Amino acid sequence: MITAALAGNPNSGKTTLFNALTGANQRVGNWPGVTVDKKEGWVKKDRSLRIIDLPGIYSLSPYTLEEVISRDFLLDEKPDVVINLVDASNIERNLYLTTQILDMGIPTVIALNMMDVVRKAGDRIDTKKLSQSLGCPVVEISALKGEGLEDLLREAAAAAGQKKAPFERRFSAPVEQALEKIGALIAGAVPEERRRWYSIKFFEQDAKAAEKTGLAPEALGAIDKIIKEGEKALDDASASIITGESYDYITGITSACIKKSRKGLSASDKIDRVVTNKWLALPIFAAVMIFVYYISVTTIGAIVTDFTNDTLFGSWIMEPLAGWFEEIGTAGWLASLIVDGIIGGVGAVLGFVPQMLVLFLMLSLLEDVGYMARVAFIMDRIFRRFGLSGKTFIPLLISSGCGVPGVMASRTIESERDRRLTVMTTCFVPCGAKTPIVAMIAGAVFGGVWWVAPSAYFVGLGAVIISGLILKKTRPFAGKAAPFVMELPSYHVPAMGNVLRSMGERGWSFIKRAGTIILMASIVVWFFSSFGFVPAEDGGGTSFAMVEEMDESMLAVAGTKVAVIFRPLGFGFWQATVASIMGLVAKEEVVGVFGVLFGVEGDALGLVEDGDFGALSPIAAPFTMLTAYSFLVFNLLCAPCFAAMGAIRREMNSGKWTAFAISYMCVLAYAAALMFYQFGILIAGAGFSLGSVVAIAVLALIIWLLVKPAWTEKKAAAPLAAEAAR
Amino acid sequence: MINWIAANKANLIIGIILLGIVAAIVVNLVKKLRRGGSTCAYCADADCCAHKEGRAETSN
Repeated sequence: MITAALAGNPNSGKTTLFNALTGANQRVGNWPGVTVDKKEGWVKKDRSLRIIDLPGIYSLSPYTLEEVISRDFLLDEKPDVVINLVDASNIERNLYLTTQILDMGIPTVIALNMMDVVRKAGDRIDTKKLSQSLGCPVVEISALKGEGLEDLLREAAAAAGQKKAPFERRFSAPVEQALEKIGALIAGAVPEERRRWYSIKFFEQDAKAAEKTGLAPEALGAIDKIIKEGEKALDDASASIITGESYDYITGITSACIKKSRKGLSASDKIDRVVTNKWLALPIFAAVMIFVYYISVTTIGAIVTDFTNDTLFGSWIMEPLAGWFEEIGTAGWLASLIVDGIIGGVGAVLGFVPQMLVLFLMLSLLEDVGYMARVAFIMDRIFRRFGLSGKTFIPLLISSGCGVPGVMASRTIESERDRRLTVMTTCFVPCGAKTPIVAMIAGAVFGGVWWVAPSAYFVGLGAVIISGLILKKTRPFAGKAAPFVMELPSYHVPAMGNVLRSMGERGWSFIKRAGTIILMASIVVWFFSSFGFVPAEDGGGTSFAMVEEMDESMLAVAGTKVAVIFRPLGFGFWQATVASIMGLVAKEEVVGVFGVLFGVEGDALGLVEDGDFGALSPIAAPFTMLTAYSFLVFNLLCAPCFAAMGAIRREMNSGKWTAFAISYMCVLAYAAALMFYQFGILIAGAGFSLGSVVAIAVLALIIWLLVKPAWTEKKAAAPLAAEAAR
Repeated sequence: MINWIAANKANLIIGIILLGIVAAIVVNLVKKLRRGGSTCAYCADADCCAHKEGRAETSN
């Protein structure tokens, strides 16, 4: 068996190549950082070739988690060959990693991807010359179109037979002398084929590499002396010397192998001048998101959803099924369980699948085109003002699909404080599972007005920014936001295969979940909402039986007791309480619960669309617009589903921090919904009440938290310094 | 007994089918949890997520 490691810069197309080679369906995104763990698969046409997809990295210096994962794999697992994916349209920067991989002495094949972009720009790369200069095979490929893959695999299999790459680049004389001396000192302590690489790392003063060798302190002292001599000779820091000479070497190669035909701005640059413009960027982003949510939730998606709810589940499934059950003499409770419980609950959720599919399609298009990478860049400018890094936006972006991978994506943030802050805020962005809640409220209560759905997205973003502002001023999160360096990929026509696959898989996962978790939860909700303790028929005491009125059920009794908590938020009735709690199982379950408890299976949407307010379904009856939006705000911001909570626990690696994160979300959600409702009724002229006082106090507290001076080490140290001076 | 079964055959057949579906779901969820050993088993994005370790291994 041959093991090939797939290494390359972020967004060079590694995951696309991995999918093309192995037939896997790993998620592909047109922004850096899609892969944060290594993944493995076997080549579909040659099962003896194992491919390991490493995270995208710019170098093998151990500064980020991805670099550590990749470097440790190359050093410890000793792959037979490295397939180094190089973005041909950005070859100079990509070759920096190539030289580092070649330094390791591992047989390497360079896969030159995106040659179509190079050709389109009129540039030319002499691959033969490039191959000679680097001493390894160079194969032109198109990962997206699947071109050149067979040649690549053939070269990889041939290179794997070699023990060591023939490449050895030369540095300036003082560096080479130093490397020779270091090499002599570490001989025996490191594998012979890695001796030169370790020598370079020692010269760069790479502490992690030095640690691996377990060298004696005397030898380390001698190496230190050699480094100082080298630094003195070249009048620079050792790490800078290696980096500078590496780029000189790369420039030498590229100037000999590449012929550029055109100067000036590319089409991507021209578009970026508008979409990343200081003044236009934000309005364009807002307009794009409003358009996306408008199309998916209010127009196209809503039309198909209405059909699914009214015709498919209503006329075609539920009515005939209920009649058939009656015909064959099925017991009332069993028919109710299936029709009202299962189909009512699952159908209410499935009814929103068309809207979700359209939303996923639109978001996938934006990602694939390259716009979302620009949004991360735009948001960095804004987030930085609030103490957050643009790096936070990548997890937020992923969270718009699902909070779990969103939370996990935060692990690419090096600073622990920023990472914790991101984990705490990333679930505020409405995920796919929250979309049905938004669509239900927008359709059933607001009559399908366009602004409700996009406003939900901006409520989430607002919560992220306010949280950043508040938390960054506290001791555990204080400090400057980590620098955010990200390459903006070129815009390209979206690969419809990728876009449709991403949309289809997300949609199918949603449907599968509706058929499992939501179905089980619907049965539980139906049981507790259909049974209760009712007065016994003989007149004495109570007996456990099916209830005539849902208000007598166990769920209603328990829900009514808990509902008191939500009274200040305007939705203190038991159905909304139960829906909010069941939302912890899965956010779509909020809609499922309404489907079961109100027995509307989404028909409300059709009625609202038709303007038939007289026959308005019971789902909207207990709500006013104010209470419905308050309910929406609470459910958007409060604790996420159990799956996301599990992800938070894993990423925080601390029970206390997880509890703090979940509590923070719940408290913020409660405060936001409370203020919204209380100020709403105050404006509507309901008069001043205790609730208004509490809302004003909460608002004052939030304003104080926003404007209070930030915690700094200096301030904290001041009293101690004064004490010491005394 | 036979009379009771005859009178309730619709309930029995539908009940058994329903029980079978529920049992299949429970077994599937438990299996997923054991195999994944993580919360990803529940995740709506699990099938297209790049973050779950070893996913490609199981899909190939």
